[in-house]
Amino acid sequence: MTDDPKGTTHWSAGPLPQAPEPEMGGSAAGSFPAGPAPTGSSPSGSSPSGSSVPLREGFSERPEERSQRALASSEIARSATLDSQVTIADPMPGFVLPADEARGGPLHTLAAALYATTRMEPGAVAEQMNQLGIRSLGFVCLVLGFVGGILVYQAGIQALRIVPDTSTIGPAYIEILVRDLAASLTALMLATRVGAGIAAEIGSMKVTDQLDALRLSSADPVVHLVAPRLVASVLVTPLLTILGGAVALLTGTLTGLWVFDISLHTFLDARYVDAADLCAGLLKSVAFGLAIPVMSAHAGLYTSGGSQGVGNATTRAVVGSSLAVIVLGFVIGALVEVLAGGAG
Amino acid sequence: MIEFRGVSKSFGDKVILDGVDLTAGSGEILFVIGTSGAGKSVLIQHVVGLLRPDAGRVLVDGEDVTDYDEHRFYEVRKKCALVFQHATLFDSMTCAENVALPLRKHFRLKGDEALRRAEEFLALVQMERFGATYPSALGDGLRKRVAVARALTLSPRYILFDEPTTSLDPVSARRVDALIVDLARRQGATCVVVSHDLRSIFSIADRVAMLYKGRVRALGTPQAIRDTTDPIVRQFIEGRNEGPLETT
Amino acid sequence: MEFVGGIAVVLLQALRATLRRSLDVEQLREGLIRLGLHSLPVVFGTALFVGGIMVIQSAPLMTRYGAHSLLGWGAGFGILREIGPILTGLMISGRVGSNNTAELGTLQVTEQINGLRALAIDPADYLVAPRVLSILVTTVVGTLLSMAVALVGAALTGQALLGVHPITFWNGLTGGMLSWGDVAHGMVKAFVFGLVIAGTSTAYGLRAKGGAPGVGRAVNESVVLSAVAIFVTDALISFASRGN
Repeated sequence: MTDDPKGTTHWSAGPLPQAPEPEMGGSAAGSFPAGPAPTGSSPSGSSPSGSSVPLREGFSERPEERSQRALASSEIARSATLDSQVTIADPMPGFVLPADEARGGPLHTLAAALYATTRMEPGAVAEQMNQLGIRSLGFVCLVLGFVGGILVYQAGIQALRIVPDTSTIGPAYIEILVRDLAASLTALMLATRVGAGIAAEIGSMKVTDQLDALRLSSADPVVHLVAPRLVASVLVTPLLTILGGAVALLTGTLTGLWVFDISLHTFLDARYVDAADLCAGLLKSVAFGLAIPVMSAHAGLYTSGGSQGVGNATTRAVVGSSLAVIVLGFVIGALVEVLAGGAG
Repeated sequence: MIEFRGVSKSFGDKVILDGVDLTAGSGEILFVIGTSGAGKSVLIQHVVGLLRPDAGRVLVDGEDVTDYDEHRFYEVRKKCALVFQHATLFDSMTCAENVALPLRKHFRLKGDEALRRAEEFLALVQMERFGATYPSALGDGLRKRVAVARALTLSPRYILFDEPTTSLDPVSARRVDALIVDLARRQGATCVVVSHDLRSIFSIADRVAMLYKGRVRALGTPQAIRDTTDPIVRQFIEGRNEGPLETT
Repeated sequence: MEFVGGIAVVLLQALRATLRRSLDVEQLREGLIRLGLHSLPVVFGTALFVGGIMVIQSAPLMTRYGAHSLLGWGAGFGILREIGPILTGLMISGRVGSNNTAELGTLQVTEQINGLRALAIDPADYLVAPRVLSILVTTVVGTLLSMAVALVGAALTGQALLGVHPITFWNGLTGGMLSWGDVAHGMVKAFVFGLVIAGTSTAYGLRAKGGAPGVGRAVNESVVLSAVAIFVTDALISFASRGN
């Protein structure tokens, strides 16, 4: 057995729990002549079962302490808001101080961001559109291209199992692309790409106190950071959806042509697409474009606790945005289905 | 014995070490001093293989470890402990769990047994009251003491301290000094201490080596360093702003 | 190619540690709970809605042909072979993969990984192998369970929206056009996605540098590359299996 760490040396106490006391005290006193008197064996060290209890306590206490601290700081920040609103003649709209953000949910961030859109700087949206659009274009096209190919391939094989008729694959594929697939897949990709980016960016600024620096220079972070990304995303998402959809249509058509020998004329037939499909697709892409930056900016503004915090914020942004896309997709899809079904 | 023979290391085109020759003898307290960025930390990280030299050799106990692979370095690391500048405790674990980890991994102690032993090591640095505390709740000085306790678990014969007293209050700094003396005198451990704490240097060092521009500029007893006529060393130990010493 | 190389190194390290039985069992248990068990709610929530979406999307086709009996087949096919594994993979990549990258990245930028090495503890045994195994198990088990949940979601939506009785749905599902082969196809995908997510997120976490922004960057790159890799490998597997 090599399990005696003291076997070869004389660092510290012997292996027995009772024995070490005097030697331990002596060694400690030798190390720290001016230190407080050693407390002897601490309660947690006295028995193996005792040692695990305080550990667990310590663990469970941590989050509570943290939330208490957050509460306390929010109190301070709130009173600071009130003061500033009283004393400053032209107050900054105090809507979006950090303490307020921490108490509100994503909807609060959405409201704050929408309100902030009225005070944005003119160039900010264009710059963000450029950033979001260019950064995501290749990614969205690549993924939708692959998905288009796979879907037509799988659908073709299944269709051939039932009826040897491939003529409806194209129209059905185009319909599903318009009403859901282009918008949903583009949005899921943007949820990872754009969502993670926004949360990491704002979160890093938060943990390095740059958001407070912005506030100190009378610049509202929601106006400068969140609102431009929100507007840019609402404008860019439908555009990317259309582009991604076009790429998916292209790869789907080519798959149909090469694998199943479906002629372009048969495949590129939009007879199933109606107004309800177009409305559903467009509505979804706008809703997704709104939801992703809100969920992600919210996660970023909430960030606390150094590098680990930034990572966690990014995780929350990706998960929150993806969930929002899936739930909104379901709700809008069901809504349009019920309304259109009722009409027709 | 730890020997550096002509050790050179560059990061990109920035030369940090440019042929360092230095030997730390058994049981001595060797201080490596120099301005920030002089390569002191870089030098000692070569001993445990966290960095590899571009040129030159590193010897531990007369054994050339320069070309060891990561796996063989684990044996070296068991006898050479490194106490990091920022303590580098695992922040997902309590202090006691931090100290218990090497005990569990290297001596195959069970969880409770390892924690009990960890408390004993914490007691060595008077930290037994903080066993259940998370490192993030402690100040720099306390964290460094936990890091020392963790380093001692492997019964190392060589202990490398990276700025052990930097950012500590004067009282805590003197306690760390006393601990280093205790380890060297009573346990016979070789301590290599990277520092620019002048009080530590002149109160506990056996020998002092000053790194400057990637080389050992001066080497000798604290008295010899104090009496030197080298203008650069003089400027450093006198802490003067004006002088020939170039900082990076 | 650097991307593929990084993943390969991570996976090989994990494999070696597993075969040599040197991986840290406690970390594995903790990883399974924290990365695996705790992400099940998100995965299930997603699956429920995805099942609903599949039904909504196949609704016009079914109505057009009056083929309500085929609803179970249509939704089941998509869930088992394509959408189930892909969406579970994406959610696990978002939840577990990015979490893994964030944690490892934090350990890296705060030098805690060097701290492990200095204590002569191999990060491959202590960090890499337990995390890779946890993520792999989470993805495979999560996909299997989420298929079941998604089918439930599809059946519920089918009844609420199209008035298709769950029994009709069930008959469509088990009517002979779907087989265990389709489930197996989905599971093969889940296994590969698990490897992709585990490898990517671990490799990017270990490579993080530059403080808090560096960790954010690493997470960002890792989720994006995982997503691309999921779709690309999905296409490769689908084409390679030729409808089997």
